[in-house]
Formats: sequence, C-alpha cells, structure tokens
Amino acid sequence: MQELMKYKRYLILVGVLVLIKFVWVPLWETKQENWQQQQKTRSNLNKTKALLALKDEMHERQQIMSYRLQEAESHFAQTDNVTSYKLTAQSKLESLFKRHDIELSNSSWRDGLKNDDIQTLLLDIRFEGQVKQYLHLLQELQQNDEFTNVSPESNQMSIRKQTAQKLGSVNGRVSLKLAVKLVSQGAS
Amino acid sequence: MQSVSPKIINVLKKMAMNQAVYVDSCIYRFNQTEIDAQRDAVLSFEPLESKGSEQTSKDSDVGLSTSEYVRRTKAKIAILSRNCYREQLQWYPITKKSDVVKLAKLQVKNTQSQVLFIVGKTVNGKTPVTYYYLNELTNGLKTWLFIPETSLLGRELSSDCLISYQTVDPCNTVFVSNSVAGTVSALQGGMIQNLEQFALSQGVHVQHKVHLSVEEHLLSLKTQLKHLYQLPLTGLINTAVLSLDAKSAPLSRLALPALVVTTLYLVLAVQVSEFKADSAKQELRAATKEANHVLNQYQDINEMIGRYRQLAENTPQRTQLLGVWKVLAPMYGSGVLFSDVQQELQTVTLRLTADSASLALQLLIKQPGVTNAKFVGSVRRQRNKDAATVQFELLPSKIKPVIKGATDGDNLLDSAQDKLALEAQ
Repeated sequence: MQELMKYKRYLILVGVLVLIKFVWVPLWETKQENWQQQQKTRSNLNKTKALLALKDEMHERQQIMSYRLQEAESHFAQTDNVTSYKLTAQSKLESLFKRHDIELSNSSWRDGLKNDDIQTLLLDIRFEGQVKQYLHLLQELQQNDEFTNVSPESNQMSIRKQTAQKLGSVNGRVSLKLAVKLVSQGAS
Repeated sequence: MQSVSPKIINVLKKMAMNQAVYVDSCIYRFNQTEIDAQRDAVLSFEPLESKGSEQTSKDSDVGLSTSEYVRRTKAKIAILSRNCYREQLQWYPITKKSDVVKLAKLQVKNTQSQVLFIVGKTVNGKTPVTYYYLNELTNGLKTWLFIPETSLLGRELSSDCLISYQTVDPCNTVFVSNSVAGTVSALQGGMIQNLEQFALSQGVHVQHKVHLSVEEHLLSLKTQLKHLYQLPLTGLINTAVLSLDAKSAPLSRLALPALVVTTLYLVLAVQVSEFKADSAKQELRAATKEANHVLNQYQDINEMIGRYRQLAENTPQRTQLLGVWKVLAPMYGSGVLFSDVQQELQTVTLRLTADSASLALQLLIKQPGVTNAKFVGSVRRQRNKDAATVQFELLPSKIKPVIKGATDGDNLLDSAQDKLALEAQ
C-alpha cells in the first residue's frame, strides 16, 4: 500500500489521462458531431421550409394546369378503334355536306402522324356546290362541337360564275385533319 | 515607421527588466529612464517594498497603489544582495555532475532555512559546491529564481582580479574573487577588513583590485543578467514556489471539482446537443413528408406541361376553316372576284379579277394576318379588268404552350368575327 502511495501522483495523472482519453475526448467528439448534424439538419430544414412556402402556389398551378390539359384534351376525339371511328366520322361529315347541299364526288382516308396516343387522320373530299353553301358548311364545321377535332389541311376550289351579287358555284377538294386520341380497350 | 521598432524594443526591454528585482533590506527594481535605456545605463535602484515595519512608510513614500504593488512584486527573478545570505564552499570527491547535484539537493533538503547551491567545475577528481544559506530577508518572496549577486558579479572575473563594492542597505563592503572553486565572497568584518586580507583568506594572488561604485555595481549586475542562462540554475530555483508539493496543494483542492465539473459539462453538452439534433431531425422528417407532396405536385405539373405541349402540336386549328374567307370577304365587298382559291396549310394562292390588281393587292396586304402577299406571274388586262394570281401567307393561330395566360379560347377567332365575314358576302 505504501508503495502505491509513493506513486500516488503518477497514478492520479494516469487516471486523469485515462479519463481524458476514454471519457472526455469521446464525449467532446460526440458533442461536436451532434452539433454538426444539427446544423446540417437545420440547413436542410430551412431549404424544405422554403419549398413548403410554395405549396399553395404549386397547388393553384396544378389546378390551372389540370383544367387547361382537360380543355386541350377535349379537342381530341377518343376511340379505341380507328376503323370504326373513321366510319362514324365519315358518315357525320357526309351528312353535314348533304345538309348544306354540297355534293360529294369522292372521299378517301389517309393515315397521318402518330405521336404516342395521339393519331392524326386525313380525309380528302371532292365536292361540288354553291360557294355560299360551302361557307355555311365551314361555319357549322367550326361551331359544331361534334367536329372539334377537325381542322383544314389543304383546300382547293375552282369558283365559277362569281359576280358582285352572287358568290357563284364551287368545285373543289378539301383535306381535313382529324385528331384522335387512342385509348386502350381496358381504359375505355 | 522607423521610430516604432526602437519603441517596441524599449518596451520589451522594460518588460524584461521588470521581471528582475534586487533584494536587500528592501526590494528594489532597476530604475531606467528612456534616456538611460538609449545609453544602455542603469542609474539607480527604485525601492518597491520594505521588510517588516518599514514597509508601510516606504510604500507611501514611493506612492504605490495596492494593485501596482502586487503587479511589481510579480517579478520572476530576485537578485539577492550579499546581505541576504552566507556562503559555504564544500568539496565532494565525485566527478559525475548529476551525482553531485543529487547530493547537494539531499544536503539542502532538510535544512531549516532555504539554501541555494551552485556546482563548480571538477578539479583533481573533486567537485566544489557553493551553498548560499538565505536569511530572513528573503522570506515571503514569490520569485522563481534566486540569484546571489556575487555569483553574477564573479562570473566574468579573472582569477587574479578582486573586486569590492558596497551593498545598498545596510551599507556593507563586499569582497569578491574568482577562485578554482568558483566565485567566493566575504563581507567586511572580523578578520577581513580589506582586500589583501580577503585575498589571503582565499589564497588568491592579487594583481588587480577594483572597487565598484554604486552605478558600476548596478551596471555590472544588469550586464551579467543578460548572461543569466549561462549560470547553473538547478540549485537556484525557489523551491518554496516552484516545488511540486507547493504547486500541487492548491491544485489538488481544485482538481477533483474541476474534473467533476468538466465531466458534467461534457455529459450535459452531449445530452443537449443530442436532444437538439433529434428534435431537428423530427422536424425535418415532418417537413420532408409535406415537401414530398409539394415535389409530387411539381412533378405532376411538369408531366402535365409535357403532355400539354404534345397535345398543342396536334391540336386541330378549327379557326383556319374560315380564316381565308375572313380575308377574302372585305375584298369581295370591294368588287374583287375570285375564280380559284388554293390553300395549303398557311399558304394561300388566289386567282382574282378586279378593276385594279394592285389596289386589290394593297387591300389584301391591309387584312390582319396576311403576310408575304405578292403577285405570281403577270397581270393580264382584258375587258377593262385585271386578272392576276396572288400568293400570301396567313399567320397561324397556334395554342401557346404556356401554363399561365393564353388558353385555346384566346387564340380562337371569335364566332362573331366569323359571322361578319359571312355576312359580308
């Protein structure tokens, strides 16, 4: 025991060094690590909060965009079968021409571009009739919601007997582009 | 700028000089004015503290405040006047210096008064040790080093030279010589009344005798202080102040609380930092959940924009069904007749008959949406009418692929305008 007391100072010093090495240093490092982690977390939190500040605006824009997209999609006819759509569309257009006393001499289909689920179809129509009737037909084509997906691709007209008082008669060919959205069988 | 460095050097010199005091019956500091410093001279000692009953009166004489007094006694080196100690020379038949030092330390360990020692050079297998037994004049001094003044003065002294000088207070004559054993000195008194007697007592042959005036004494001390590092300082340390025991006593009292406080602080700091880090993490987790929702919305919007652009490229332009007729209607109203109309996307080619083809072209150019209007081929004049072929381009009305602002409706021609075009016929 007396031997130990002789080295008391050194033992205390060793004890303090052990305390520093195995208790203080790890505690200090843990503390520093925690502070760094906290600072990093706070920085991320600030960024996240800045993002959250846009929440309402983002929601509003999503609503607007959703509405506009819906509106844009409404201009496309939807079908799961292009052939049956062609028959239906042709039948409607023929009855429209007939309604306006425009005589059809020929009509034929061409396939346009396909972009994902959007398919464009081209319908070439040869017709003959009064210019005035043809303009009425075009007006109805523009205003009738059944033909929202129809737009002109090309139009050739030979006008005869036009005077200042009369629009005359027309003999021409029009290519109409029909935009169709293809839907799968399951989705339809 | 040039005057700054000498000032700094002077300040440093003054600070160094303030670290040394001269101890006699009073404590003195080296009094050096700026002019003295430039001449590298020390003119006088300035008393700092007196011992015993004189202390109060001396302090009041020099007008020291308490804080100033404490500051000035913080000097680390005390040059001891010859009045502060008595010398004893002892020879040991040991050549190893470390052993001599150990022996000297053992020798001075159990003495009542504090004892300094200087180990000399070994001569003929013997090593001299000069012991300095300090008296009560040095009691209470907290300096780190005690330098006997005779050891300083005799350091550079040649063996055939003797010096004498007078101590400050009390005024005693001191004789100093440098023998084979090192510096030896004696106070005047008893058998030794003059230098010759001192030389005889030390067995020194006198060739040069030097008596130092007060100023020379001070200057010599100051000069030798610069070479202090050359002295063997082992035995000159003030053990009462610098010994481990003396230091450890107040330290040991503070050590345990300091250890406990530091450990507690660290534990507490870790806990607090952990708690804060955890709470920040939780906060972040909750915020991230919400942010993910916002990010999903952002992704949705981007996807919708992509889809919208795709649709915009293929969206039917119904407005162009009557677009060309909107242009032709005012011309027809002005008497222009059309015989051929060809439209290929935006390019329109007309064959027209009018009173003046150029006027008809001018009228066409004025129509909104008409660009690049020009005659194609020659203009023929027959039956007082011009027949010409005109080509122009109609500006397309596209759906703008932007989120805010234009809608399809914005770009569509309103039906009222179209109706007007029809009514014009």
